[in-house]
Amino acid sequence: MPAGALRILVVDDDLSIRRALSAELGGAGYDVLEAADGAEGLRLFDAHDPDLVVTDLAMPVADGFELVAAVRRSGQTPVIVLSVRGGDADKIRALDLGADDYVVKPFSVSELLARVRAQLRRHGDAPAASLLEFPGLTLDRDRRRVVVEGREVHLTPTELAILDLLASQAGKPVTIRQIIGRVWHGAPGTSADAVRVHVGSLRKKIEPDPARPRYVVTEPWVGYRFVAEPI
Amino acid sequence: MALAVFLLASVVVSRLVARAQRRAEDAEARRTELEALYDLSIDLFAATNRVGALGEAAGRALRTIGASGGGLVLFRDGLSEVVVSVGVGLDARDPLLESVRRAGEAAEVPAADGTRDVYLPLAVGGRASGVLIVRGTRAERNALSSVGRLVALAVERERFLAERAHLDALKESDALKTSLLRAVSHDLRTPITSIRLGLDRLKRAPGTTGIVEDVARETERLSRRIDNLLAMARLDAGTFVPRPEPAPAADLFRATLDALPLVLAGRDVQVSVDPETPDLYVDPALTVEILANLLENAALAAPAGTPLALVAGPSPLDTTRVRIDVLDRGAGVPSAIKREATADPGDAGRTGLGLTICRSLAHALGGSVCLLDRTGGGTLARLDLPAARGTQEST
Repeated sequence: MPAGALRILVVDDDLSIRRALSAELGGAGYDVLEAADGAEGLRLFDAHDPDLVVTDLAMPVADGFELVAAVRRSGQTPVIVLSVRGGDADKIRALDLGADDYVVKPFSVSELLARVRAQLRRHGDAPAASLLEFPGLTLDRDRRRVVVEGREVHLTPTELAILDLLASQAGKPVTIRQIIGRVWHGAPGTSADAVRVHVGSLRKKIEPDPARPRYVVTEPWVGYRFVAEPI
Repeated sequence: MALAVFLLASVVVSRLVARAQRRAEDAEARRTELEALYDLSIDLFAATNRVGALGEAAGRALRTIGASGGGLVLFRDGLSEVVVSVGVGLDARDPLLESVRRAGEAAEVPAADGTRDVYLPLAVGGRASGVLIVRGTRAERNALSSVGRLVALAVERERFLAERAHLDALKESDALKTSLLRAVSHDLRTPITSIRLGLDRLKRAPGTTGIVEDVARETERLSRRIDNLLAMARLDAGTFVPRPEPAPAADLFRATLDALPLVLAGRDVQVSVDPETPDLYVDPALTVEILANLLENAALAAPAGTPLALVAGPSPLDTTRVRIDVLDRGAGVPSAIKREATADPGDAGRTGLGLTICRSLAHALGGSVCLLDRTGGGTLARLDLPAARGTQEST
């Protein structure tokens, strides 16, 4: 175990998946802890204070939802859940309970490692950085300026608030409910369609090629994700 | 005189006694009938809580009212069906049955021994659902009518019970199908996940050649085929309802390309979305599944090095639809599929599973798929899907 390595807790009831994840994350330089169910996961979490948790959702003893809720109660440790295809209600539930991201089985190692890196980086960032810089896009939060490919683009206050919310959590899926809560302050009557219209016009202004969005992408049934990695 | 008076009195008295006795006998007969009706009603309603018990109960009803035989004929789907037959066999084609059904009134056939055969229509709320045939009875018409009404109610009740049992069975089998499919889905995807993770590791091991890539690509295909088949099975079982939401074509394209990393490795896929394209109103996962199948077919059909294309635009004739084309420069629409358009639909073996699945999934989304020869060579797979209203990106 490398000294000072970041510690990841892997919780899955399937031995072969647990073993494979453990090998891959270990190979990528992380210190890995393994648990076969949510109850064991929570014991290891309490005893070893990992930097990140990767957990399956459906497990025999204490499922992933219980674990997500317990981890969130104890602090801000990032949690990535392993979801199954078609389990969109589960994904949204896990995100609303405080999970930070998900990958859908079957996923590739590179996909998971990218999500892990994004979460660890986001978590390590100083809060409320005033300048968010991505390849080709800069958001100056204090001056409320957005520059895309060297040119300033003018956003409406709503578009700017949405971009700020998504870009400040780059890599993290943000649910429609969270957007309504943060941008509209939960104003009653704000519909998912209203969010979609504003995101649509935001994308028109910031995406260099609307046919191939590189900043804001839709997460079906969930919401949106800012996908560019910060510089 | 006194004798005459006495005689007269005794005649009157004896008549009175006889009348009283007849009344007593009548009352006794009524009481017996009432008792019989009461027993019958208990029999029909308390004891027949299970489907199929009606026949036995009707048989007992006939014995209760002292019939020498008879039975129960029900009209189902325009046909007469003998449900119970006691004594001489009943004929479902007996013309009296039809006239009783039409008239909705009882018919009587007197016999030489003073008994009669009575055909009682079984009607609850108008139309006769059947006929109770009572042979060789001496029972009062009123009593028979009462029996008829009771049996009619029992028939309706039995019908209701059967319907409910059928619904219960349906619900149970739906729940069973859902949990079965969920288990199959989990049991198929878990090993696929660990195979993929294992392959990722093998790829980095020294000394492995193209074989790992081949296995990985085939695993990707297998995984997608499992998704296809599970989606089809769910649609087929009626346990899966597509969940449409407004979806921009660009996002669907991006997800499609993400779904085929190995199939599309080293291929140029040109993506274009007409700025006037409204958002689609579709189940995003199902739509990506269709597009991935079509794009995979295109990649297999077209020679390496030729570009593939995904193109979205508003439907030229219908503003409520979106048109998506998947294009390749392969050999064009396979002749087997052209033939299929005119003959023998559903022959998936000959034309490949992919297109059949695409058609079923597109149909479930309220859309359609067709294959056309592309101008300048190759195939154009055209997907026509519903557009979302009021959420156009071009606002």
